Order: sequence, then C-alpha cells, then structure tokens
Amino acid sequence: MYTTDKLPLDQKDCFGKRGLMSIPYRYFAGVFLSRALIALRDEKKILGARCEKCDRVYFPPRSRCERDFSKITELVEVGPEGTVEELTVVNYEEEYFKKFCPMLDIPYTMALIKLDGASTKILHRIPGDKVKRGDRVRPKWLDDDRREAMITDIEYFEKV
Amino acid sequence: MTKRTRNVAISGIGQTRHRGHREDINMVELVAEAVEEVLADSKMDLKDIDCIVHGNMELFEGVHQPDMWHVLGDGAYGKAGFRITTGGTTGATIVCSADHLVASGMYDSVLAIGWEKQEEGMTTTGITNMADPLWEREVQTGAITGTHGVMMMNKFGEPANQAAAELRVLMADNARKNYKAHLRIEITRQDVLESRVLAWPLRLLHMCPESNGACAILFVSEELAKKLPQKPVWMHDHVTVHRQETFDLVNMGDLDTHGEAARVLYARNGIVDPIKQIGVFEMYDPQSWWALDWVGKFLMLENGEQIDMVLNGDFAIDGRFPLNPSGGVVSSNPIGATAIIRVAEAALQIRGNAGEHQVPKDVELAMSTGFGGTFWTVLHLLGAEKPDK
Amino acid sequence: MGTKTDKEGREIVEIRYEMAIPGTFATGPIMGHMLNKLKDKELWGNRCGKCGNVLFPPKIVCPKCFEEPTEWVKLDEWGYIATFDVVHFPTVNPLTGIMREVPYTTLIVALPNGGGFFHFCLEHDPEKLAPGKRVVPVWKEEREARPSDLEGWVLAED
Repeated sequence: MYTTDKLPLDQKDCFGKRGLMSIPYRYFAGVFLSRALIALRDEKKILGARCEKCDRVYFPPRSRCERDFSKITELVEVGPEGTVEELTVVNYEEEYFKKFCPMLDIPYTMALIKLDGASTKILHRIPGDKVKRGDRVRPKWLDDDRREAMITDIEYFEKV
Repeated sequence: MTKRTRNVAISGIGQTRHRGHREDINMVELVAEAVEEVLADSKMDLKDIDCIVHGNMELFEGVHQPDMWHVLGDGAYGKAGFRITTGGTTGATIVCSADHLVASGMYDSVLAIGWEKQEEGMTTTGITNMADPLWEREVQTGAITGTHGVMMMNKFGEPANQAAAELRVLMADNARKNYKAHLRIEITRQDVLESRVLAWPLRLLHMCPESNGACAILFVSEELAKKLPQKPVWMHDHVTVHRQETFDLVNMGDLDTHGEAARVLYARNGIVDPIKQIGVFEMYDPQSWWALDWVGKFLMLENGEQIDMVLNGDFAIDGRFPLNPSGGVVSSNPIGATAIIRVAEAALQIRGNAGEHQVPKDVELAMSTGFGGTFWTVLHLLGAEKPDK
Repeated sequence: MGTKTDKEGREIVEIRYEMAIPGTFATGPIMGHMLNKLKDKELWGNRCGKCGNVLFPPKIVCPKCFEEPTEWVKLDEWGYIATFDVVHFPTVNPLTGIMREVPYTTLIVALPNGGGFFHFCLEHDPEKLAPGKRVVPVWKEEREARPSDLEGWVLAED
C-alpha cells in the first residue's frame, strides 16, 4: 500500500465511504425509432429500417445508414421468426437489473438473433440453456396491458 | 512560434440549430445533422475522411462510450476513431487533438465532432459529479456561483453590475443575428438587473441555458485544403492550462489559468497588443459575471478597463474588439459542443461567411477559448494566413 | 418508461430512468484519518515541511512544493469567510439523490494558519455575510465520518 516515510499513517484509518451516483435521466428515441417501438406495443409487429441505396434492413431501426450515410425513412416488416447466430448462457443475477425490466430465471441464454429479412442481428434472451446455433426462434409477446413500446415488449424468444 | 510538422486547415464547418427541446430525435440523429452539414460545406466525401474524433460529457445523457453507438450516425464506420471527454472544454480539446493528428502526418483529414443532448439529464447534478466523492461532492453547486460577481462588485462597485448586464444585452443582440443560437431574446439592461436571483449577484439572465446541439469541424492537411472549395482557416497555436480545485481556494488569484494561457500564447505568437492584433474573440462565457472578469484577464487588463470597454460598446460586432459575435455561450450551451462552436464561429469570421453576424472587417487572427471544471482553459489561435508566413 | 405526445401531436417514446448506482469510495489513510476525526468533533489537516502551509482537507503532497507533508495539525475551531454564495437554485446532491432545500449557502472557509475549503453556511442573509467575518462550525449530534458531520458554519458571536 502507499506509504510516506514523513507523515505518520495508520492503515486502520482507511475505510470505504458509501454513496450513490444518483442522476435522473430521460431518453428520447426520436420520432422515427418511436414508430417502430409503438408498432411493437400496438400491433405486435417488428419493423426494420430499409436503406434505399444499399438495400440493407436494420433492426433495431435507425434513421441513417452507417455504410453510406443516406437518410432512411422506410420501415418494413421483418421476422417475426429468426435464427440464433451466437449465444451465451447467463448464470448471474443482480438485484439492480430488476429495476429496469423483468428478468428471466437463471440460467437463461443471451442470443444474437437474425430475424428473417433483417441484415443485422438483435440481442435478446431465450429461457433455459438448451439453445444451439442455428435454432429457429419466434417472439413471445407480453400481454396486451403490459406492453410499453420498448424492446422488452417481446418478453423473450422461444424455440419454434 | 511553436514548430509545426505541417500546416493544418479547417475546411469544413457544420452546426445544428441549438434548441432547448429536441424530443423528436435521439442522440445519434443529432450528431448526424451536424455531420451532414459539414460534408455539404466542405464537399468532402465521407469515404475520404480518415478519422473521427468524438466528444461530449457522458454524465449528461447517462450513456457511456457513446462513440460506439454513434458510429450509426457520424460516419465512423470502418475508420479510426478517438473519444475525448474533458468536461466543459471537451469541444476545445477535440480540436487540439484533431490539430495534432493532422499536423503529425498520421492522418490527412480528421472530423472533430462535439455534441450534447442536454435535456436528457440534469445539468447541475451531472456537473457536481466531477467533484471528489470524499469531500467536495457534498458541497458543490456546479456553475451556479456568484463569487466572481461578489469579487467584481467589491473591487469596482456599481459600474461592474451595469457592465455585466450590458454585456448580456450585447450577447442577446448578437444572438438575434445568428440563427443557429438557442436564446435569441430581446432584452434590456433593466430586464437583466431585475431577473430572478440565482446566487447573488448572479441572476437568471446572466446565466447560460441548457441546449441540445452538435458541431462538426473538418481538419485537413495543406495538400487537401487546396482541393476543397472553402477558404482554408489555418490553425496557428493552442495552449491548455488548468488547476485542481482544492489546492488553495483562498489564494485563487495565484493560479490564474486564463492569464497564464494568454501570456504563453501571446509570447509564442508575437502578440504584444491583443486588442489591436486580434480581429475577433470567441470567448467561452457561461455567465456574464465570469465573462466580465475573464475578458479582462485574457486581454491582460489590470484595472478593470474592460468595464469601460463594455459600456463604450467596444465589444460590439462593429466595435474596436468584437467579442462573441455569435452570441456566446450565454446564448447557446450544449456543453460537449460549446467549446468547438467557439472555434467554428472564429473560423467562420476569418472565412468571411458568418452571415448576418459577420464582423464588418477582414479578420487576420481570431482567438477562441474553452472552459471547464477545474478552471481548465484552452486557448486557440486561428489565422487567415499560414502560421509560418 | 413510457411515451408522451409531442407538440405536433405525435406519440414519441420517452424513457424516464433514475440512475442510482451505489458506490464505495476508498478514502486512503490520509483522508480516512481526517474523516474519522470528524466523529470526535476535531478538524485535522497536515502541514508541508517546506512551505509551512497547512492543508485542509489533508493532502498526500503539497500542491505548491510537491513535497510530502510532515506532520498532522489540529486546526482551531474557527475560520474566516473567504467568499460565499447564497443559492436560490435547487440542485440534487448526487451522493444521496436528495434535492437540496433553497436557499442554501456555500462558503469557502479560510483557516487562520493558511488554506481554505468549501462547506455550507447556515446563515442565508447576504446582508449579514461578508468576506473576512469570523465563522465557527456547528457539529451534528450523530456523526458518521463524512463532511456532513459538520452541519455547517455560522457567524461567530463577538
């Protein structure tokens, strides 16, 4: 540990001061992305953004194509089924996570899923630990009164 | 003159209209607006830009490493990228970094982007987090402080009060000519002196707003500048000075970062009479009391001569020494972008195409500053001619 | 979480979220010693052997000399106002997440042996406060080795 040979110090004086870093936030999705999130809530439809120039379809949608910087205004339906491309099994729980959204029981799988018709993969969860690369999955939606226009309106994906 | 490996020019400037509410877009889209404008201004193709330097203050949006996410909107896909965050001076430091990167020969073109979506967080609470958690965080109030006002009132009396209010009115007059500014209000000295007290003698109208905005500047090598349409603005020099807060709070005068930065910059660049030799000064002024004090420090005025200069109109757009023709920080303050906006506005003045808020004369040299937390000061010098002339 | 209607009547997503991350900040032996002494209602700084300045809060090195301080110094329980701010703008204390009541007054206390530090003043009338006036600390009943063990400073009665 750090010492100085000039000033008398006592190791027992060291302690951990407890505190928070507490700041309130409001995140805006923007008009374009809001349309897609609201479609999740109201229509149980998954909408991706299609770049006219290069034909890539991004989900989650975004209003700029990252490759050619053109503006995207078109939303097209993707999925609802998809293929698991990558995965990892989570065996770890923390109280703090539950503050933001309902959690699945451990063990559960975090997977990168390529929805049919999309050029990008999305990160979502699948219950249990028996998932393999290449598995076909489909969304399990939350009940009508619990959906809030967030990605977690799809509670999880399940094997077809 | 500090030796440069090679010259660096500003050949593209893009800025959003700074507004209090941008609920219609997310952060990525905000950055994309500024990038779209800088590409149109410089006529440069995105694929020809080598590197992106990206900066903001993370605690204001609560998103860490946002440069990763912003690849979706800032054209950084497949390119080199740097992320810099230095509090209020973020914008100025990303300019320093872009200058170094091009001057070193490492890249020929660097896009520097500063931005902030201030409405998504809580500004003063975010700023307070800069202070150390063991002692200062419990007693900090961020930028809402009247201590400089108290000091100026003690030293110079009522004329200081009048000058601070007059300076605010001047900033509002300038901002009304700058359609990108956030607060474009019509106020009188009386309005300022009667506005609500925040921390005496700091009043509501002395204080900057919380704005959402982004600004992007394209830095290129001399070779590349010749091929691009805009008149190049040459980077001459920059100096960064700062001090830590709890060093010696009682004798703050001994650690004057503004005066020190100015002394070093002027000595290195042969400036003996800043009022005569510098055409335009874009100073970072989060509140009018600070502005009144600091403009004196930067101009090396010992006896409050700046008070008379304000009251005589010397700092107006058509005055002897134009100060903040864009309206300054007190009119628009998207914190991560603010310091880079000062550089952008100084560059627009040198180019001569600032529009309605252009100073009516040829500008040879322009100076801009950034300011942040621990009295961090970054001073930039830009010129119409190359520095080694 | 949720949505709202914007000025143009469109429904947009606005996620409201209180980020409240718990943290444990290590004090080290020097700040730890000073904070522990607050429980005994004592203010302790350290002194630089070279320039003789007293540093409060105590430091690992003297910022002017870059030398290590050589002794602990118990400070007198009074100081002068160097400067102050009566603030009418409510802000949240990020360590606790609680909004401060306004007005609240911050001040810089200048110590008689040199140096100064930020704290709160319990007097909110700017007419009564001025640089140079003597102030004394008010301690809380319950002390936990935090700067808030000092409730604040008040003008000394002459």
